[in-house]
Amino acid sequence: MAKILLVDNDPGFVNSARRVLENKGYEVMTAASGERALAVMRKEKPALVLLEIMMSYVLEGLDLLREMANDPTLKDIPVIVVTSLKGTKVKAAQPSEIYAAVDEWLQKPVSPDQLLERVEEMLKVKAA
Amino acid sequence: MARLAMLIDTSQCVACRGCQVACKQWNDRQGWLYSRTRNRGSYENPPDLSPHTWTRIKFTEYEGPDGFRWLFLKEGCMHCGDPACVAVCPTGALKQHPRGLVTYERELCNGCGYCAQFCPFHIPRLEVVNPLTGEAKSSKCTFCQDRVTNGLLPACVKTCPARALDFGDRDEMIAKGQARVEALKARGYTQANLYGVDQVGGLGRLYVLIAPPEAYGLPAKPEYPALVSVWQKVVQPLGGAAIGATILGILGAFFLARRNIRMEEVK
Amino acid sequence: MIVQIKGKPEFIQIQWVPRYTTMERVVHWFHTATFTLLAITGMMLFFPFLQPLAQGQAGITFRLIHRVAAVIFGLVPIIYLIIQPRRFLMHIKEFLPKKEDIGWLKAVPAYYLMGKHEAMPPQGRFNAGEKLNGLITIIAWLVFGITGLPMWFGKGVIPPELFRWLVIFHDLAMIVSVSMFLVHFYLAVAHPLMWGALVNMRFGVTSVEYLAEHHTKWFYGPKRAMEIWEAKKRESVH
Repeated sequence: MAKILLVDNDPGFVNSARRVLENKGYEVMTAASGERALAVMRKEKPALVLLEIMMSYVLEGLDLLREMANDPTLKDIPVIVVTSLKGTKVKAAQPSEIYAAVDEWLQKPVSPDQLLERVEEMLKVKAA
Repeated sequence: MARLAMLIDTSQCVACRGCQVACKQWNDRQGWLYSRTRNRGSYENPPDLSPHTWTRIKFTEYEGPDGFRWLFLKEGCMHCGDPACVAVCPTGALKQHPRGLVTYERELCNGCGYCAQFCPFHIPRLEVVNPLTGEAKSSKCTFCQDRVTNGLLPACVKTCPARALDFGDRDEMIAKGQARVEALKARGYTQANLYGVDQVGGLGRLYVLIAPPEAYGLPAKPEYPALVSVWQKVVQPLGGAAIGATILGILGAFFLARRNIRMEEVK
Repeated sequence: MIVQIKGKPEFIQIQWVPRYTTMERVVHWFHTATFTLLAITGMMLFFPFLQPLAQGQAGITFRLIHRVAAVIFGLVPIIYLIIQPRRFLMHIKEFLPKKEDIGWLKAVPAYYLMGKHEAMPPQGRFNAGEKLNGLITIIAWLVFGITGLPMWFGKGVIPPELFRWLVIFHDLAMIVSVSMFLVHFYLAVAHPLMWGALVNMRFGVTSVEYLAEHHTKWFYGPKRAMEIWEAKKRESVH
């Protein structure tokens, strides 16, 4: 089944998310920092990335997104953000305010069912 | 007015322990609490000072250069000239009276127990009501502060049948004690000495001893605990100064900051 | 700060960043309450001018309050350690001083007294002053516990000579930690630049603007934070 890269430095979340995904048959790789994630991505080419934004510094995940967007080999990998950072949905924004772009935004805490559903959905969409 | 003192001539004491009884009777102390009589292999009873035993006769068997002796020591608060307990008492329950005795006001005591921990003679005893909450009261010989300040003698002095106890002007007591020591030496008590003249600011309780102080269990060189001076004269004032300086510094910093930082600059 | 959702006309706006976990905040406020009670009731035995409060039945009651508060004061961090051991240890590590903290110390007069923002090097989740406060709090907690427990239960058990030293160290820890608390209180509540701090400790979140300004290293990461600081310093010279 598909390879999923889980990027998060919270061992609690990583362990439970990994178990949920592996039970469903996914192959799970993990990275605890933006740098590690880039190295793994370049080697393994995951089908999907689950990304926490706040790691060793607040914007670390967003900076990873920017790196990925600038790298032709990585920019097409779908990313679902699963973060404890609090975001509110807004309808419009000035281009100058936009820091990064992502395929989906999930707020922690996220239930196993919700996680699996969003992962499945995203893989289906991207495969098409 | 002149400093008062008690002269205890241990060479005259016959250990009748009338003083123990008189003290309990006058100060309304219990007879049996802490000191239920039991055969401990000695006539000595109670085995220690307690919140209900402010004085007691301590028995020691002593083999000295002059032969075998029973040493009888009437224990109790020494009423130091430099009382550490007064210095450390946070409530002022322990005070040094102008006439030298260390007085105690039970209503003011909050049971902290510092007096017991800092006394160089380990005299005050804490009457603990509740060990968990710390509710307690301190307890010690007061030289019968209520009798003495009304022209009477302490109860123990009044009752002693051997006339081993005297109480009055301290200089007189010292002179009397020294004379007695000379007389004892002349009679062959080569180790006779007067204890309490100069230690810890001069003790209010003077002993004519017929053996060295250590033989009685008295400290040969008792000292006002150095930590009391460190605590009361250094740590306390410095602590007040440090906290006061911090408050002043903060006030100063606040006004400086207000002047220099305009709120429009701050989001 | 905005994140765009690809393929949808939706944007995510980030305004508030979680900075203090619930546990951190609970521990902090319990500590505040118990420390205040302990300091006040303890100082009654320390300062002669507070003597009337220490006397008689009132004194006995205040001593009781001191002990009850002491139990809670002692237990709360231990409960944190038991419930979240990993976070607890990570938290302690955050307070350990590093060489670069000297930069903060040097910048104190210019920043806190004069308001010169460019003088302050980029700070992490805890700025060096907050680290100092945390470290002093932890060390004081240890000293209070190690001296206080024998002072409570050890009378007649430990030698009086040892007890006397315990009192001295208990008092020294009080002087240092109360002074630190006063500074902490001032900076958290009254200083014009530190407006985000109290909001933070109450709700657990800080605004993006406050973090970008005051905790650049934690917000932008060490590299970017340095770049921003260099730019700010160059700007202020002109």
